[in-house]
Amino acid sequence: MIAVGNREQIFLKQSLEKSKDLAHRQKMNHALKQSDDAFEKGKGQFSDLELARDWANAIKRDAIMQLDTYLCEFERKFTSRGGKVIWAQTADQAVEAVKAICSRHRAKTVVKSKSMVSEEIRLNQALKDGGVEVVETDLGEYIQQLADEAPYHIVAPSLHKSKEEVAQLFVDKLGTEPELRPDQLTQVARKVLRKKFREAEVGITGVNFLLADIGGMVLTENEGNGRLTTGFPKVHIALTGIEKILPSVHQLSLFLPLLATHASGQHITVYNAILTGPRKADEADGPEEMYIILLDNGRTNILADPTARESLYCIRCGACLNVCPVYKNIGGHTYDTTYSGPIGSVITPHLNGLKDNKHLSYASSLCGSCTEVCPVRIPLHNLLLYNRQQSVAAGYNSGMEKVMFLTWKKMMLNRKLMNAGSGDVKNWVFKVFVSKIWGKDRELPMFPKKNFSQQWKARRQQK
Amino acid sequence: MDTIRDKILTDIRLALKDGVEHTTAKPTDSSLLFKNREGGLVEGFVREFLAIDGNVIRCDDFQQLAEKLTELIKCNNWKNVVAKSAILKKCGEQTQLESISTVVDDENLGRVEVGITDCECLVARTGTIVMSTAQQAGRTFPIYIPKHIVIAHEKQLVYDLGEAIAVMEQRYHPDYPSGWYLVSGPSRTGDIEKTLVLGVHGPVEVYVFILK
Repeated sequence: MIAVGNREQIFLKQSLEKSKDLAHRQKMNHALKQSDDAFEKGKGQFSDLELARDWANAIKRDAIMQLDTYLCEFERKFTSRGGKVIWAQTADQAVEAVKAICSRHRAKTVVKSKSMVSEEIRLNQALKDGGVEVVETDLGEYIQQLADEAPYHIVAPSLHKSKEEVAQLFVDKLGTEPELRPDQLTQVARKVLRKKFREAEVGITGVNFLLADIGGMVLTENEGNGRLTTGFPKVHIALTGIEKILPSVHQLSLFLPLLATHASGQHITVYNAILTGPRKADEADGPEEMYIILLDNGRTNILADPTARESLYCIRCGACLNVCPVYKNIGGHTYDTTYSGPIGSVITPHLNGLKDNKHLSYASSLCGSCTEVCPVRIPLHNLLLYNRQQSVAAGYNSGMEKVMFLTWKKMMLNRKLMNAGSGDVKNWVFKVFVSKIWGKDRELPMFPKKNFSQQWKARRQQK
Repeated sequence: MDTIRDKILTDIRLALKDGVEHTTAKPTDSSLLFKNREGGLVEGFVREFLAIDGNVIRCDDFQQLAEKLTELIKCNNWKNVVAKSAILKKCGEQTQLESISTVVDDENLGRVEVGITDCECLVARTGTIVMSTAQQAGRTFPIYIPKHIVIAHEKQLVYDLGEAIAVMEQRYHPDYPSGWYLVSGPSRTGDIEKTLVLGVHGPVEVYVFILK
């Protein structure tokens, strides 16, 4: 599909298409209903979830407010055990660092476990261009890679595909028998990928938490691909944003259950690995080299804004996507951003520029479901409103919008103007000027024949 | 001099010049946040581990462990069983254990059907097995094997994750193993239409033998 227009126009056009696509809606409703049900069950492990969220918020606040101190502590401890830290200010620097390590080790194959930062820096394409085979090993990411699509959801990458679509994809790309069931498809992927884990020279992962006090990182997953990615290859590279820091390993006793419950409705995810460095001399196996790449890529811009700063508390659980009526209706790809849903709409304008991404903050009914569910209490819908204010302050709103609000303000402040014109006149004005913005799929509200003031007077006279 | 590092740290410090709020409350005891279940540690672990599709077998002594383990292997007709377990080694010295191999080279790793390992501790509240690379099973063996059997003593049970992390800290600080692994049940996914499938990349079955 060739899209014409600027990012906002494309976004509006695709939103319209997706929200009318009933098959899409059915698949999204099915998947997100399952997430809802699982979450309801999972949160039963907490005796006081509200307090847990308060504490998580306080811990992340502390972490972010002393980010420099904790990052330096992390670096000192991690490097003392032989790990290497690479700082990257931009996506390009991070990509170059990974490429340099791969070429130093003459890597032909790289296995990857899920990493949104790798999506952010467009790593796969860069490695492929350099002649390296990149294999996604998380089942959902593997499906997306076969389909040559970006992830649809930050936690469940292939959420939008029915099992029939996945089965057909496997027929087309892997030559499997048709109409395989999900368990059979999983076995196919297992078989293909087990070879890759053992062949690959380099394993690349994301990071769920960086731990300052012990100088380590946490990798959270359910499938075991993260463990294999950090087990067999002789080099492990982990990519992370600088905000993923936690002051202490002890705080995992709160953050692991909190993340699991909000991401997938579990009490704890099946595999949580705390990795503190490369293989030690007396250990059986493991990578000879371990690198952690700390990426800024616009995060310090967010940090510099005391209001927006709270969005850096995010632990990427995806709960705000699951409850968002906009995400549910327009789907993950329409955003055309690395991070979709409410958190994506909040941070993308700061990471990639306000002008080209301001429309994302307007794509919200401000219903507040995201704020209500966020495990670290990021005031997401307030931050969307804040982005809108910034966009208006920067003069990015259209002339038409300015005129409309000015007119609105004038009329609202003047009783005579508000009462001017009959219902029919108002309906005509609305039909001419507003119906296009309102869209033809929604019924235009009608003004009654008599306005409120007339109705009110009539009612009082009846008494 | 690493200039990129310095630039980022300078940017962070500049960014934090304004509006920094320091929190006074620094919560510590997270076990207060979770529902306290009735019953002992063993019962708690069994309940939670079964709920996440694991299996638990309790034994009174080495004799019973040897018997129950042999029976499990026979029942399932498992052929290629490899143990990397200090507890089982001790058990084998005192009892008649079916021939279980203790070595496997890289080439034959793919043929192993069942792997037996120790653990650092077990967490009752979440049904979690804690392992580490300080143990002989290492990084790849316990995750590559299709079926995983863990042997633990009852005294290795703790209630919550916080205690397990404290155990690891006391045992290893400051010379930590390069990998600490929390494992809660068999490998699983819901990536295709949220359908639960067990055994994606890791073991499809996990058994924990708890010795009195």
